[in-house]
Amino acid sequence: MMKKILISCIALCLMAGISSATLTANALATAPVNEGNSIADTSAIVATWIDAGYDPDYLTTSAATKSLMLDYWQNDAYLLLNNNIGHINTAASHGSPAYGVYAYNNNQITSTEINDLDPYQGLASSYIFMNGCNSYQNPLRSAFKVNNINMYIGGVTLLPLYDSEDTAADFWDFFLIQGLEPADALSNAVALHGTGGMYGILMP
Amino acid sequence: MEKRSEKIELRKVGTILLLVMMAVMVAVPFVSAENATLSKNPKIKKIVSDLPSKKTISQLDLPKEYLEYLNAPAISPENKDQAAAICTNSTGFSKFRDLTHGQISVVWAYPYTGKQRISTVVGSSASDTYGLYYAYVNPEDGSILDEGFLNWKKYW
Repeated sequence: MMKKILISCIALCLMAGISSATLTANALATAPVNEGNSIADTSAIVATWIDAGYDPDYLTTSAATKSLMLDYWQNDAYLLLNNNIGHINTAASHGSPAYGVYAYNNNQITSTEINDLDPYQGLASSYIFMNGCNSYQNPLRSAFKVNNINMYIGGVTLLPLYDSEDTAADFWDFFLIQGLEPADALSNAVALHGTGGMYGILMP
Repeated sequence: MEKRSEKIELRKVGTILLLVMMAVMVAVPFVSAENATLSKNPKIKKIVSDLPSKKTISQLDLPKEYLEYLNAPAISPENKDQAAAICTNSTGFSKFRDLTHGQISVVWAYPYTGKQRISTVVGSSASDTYGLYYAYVNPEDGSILDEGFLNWKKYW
């Protein structure tokens, strides 16, 4: 009798473990590298999201692996908010094409891989702030657009360390706490950090 | 006889536990889904069923260049190796040769014209030089059309 109960309890624990591993966060902040203010601003963004009533997950440095980031972007059916502070595969001039997003350990998530995600899960309906050089440029922007997103903000130029990630942090505050429309929230944030003209916003 | 009835009882307990476990497994996603919509900002609730029905990619108002890019032929592994070798042997890459570099990525340059783009991360955040080396190659004659370096100490 005891043995059977014990086995059942273990099975229950295992199943509970599997259940909790299911991705159910409605917001995801990622910062694959610790540079500039990437970690501090990611923490600030997570705090803003919690204040606004969201239940975020965050992946920083070695936790921000390509496979895990793609797992959220593909499978988290509750995902609404995304912020990434990281490097982009682009060239050294303003407005160059953007080919992919770098996860931890310089593993690139290519625009093709983003294009091929399930457009009805993960990124679908999401509000995305991709803080990286030229991240508003194609093919990257269109690859995100294919995923039925609600908003995409990215760099139309190269983005400087420090001021740009500070801009991202303040955007979410203006948007979610102060209740501004996304475009107005972005205008206010860039005005604070001297990053005017560096971002584009897409509201499909 | 007693043992038999005890066995039956144990089976019943086991069945009940299994049913409880299954009920928990089914209930967890619904509880989470409910929480997911408890946003203070009513403008952003994820209602996947409200998304537009599946469209072909050409119906999504995407740039023509993007569609052409998606439809470009695959680059063969041999061709990728060839392009990578051209770049890592170039004079432009020579100043990075002593530094560590990551995997070499070879894709079509955007928009698609037949040029290839090679890129690799050079150095690390702990080294003085850290960034992305890239080059554009003409696969027809193996010439390098342009190359550069994006300084990741300064820019994202």
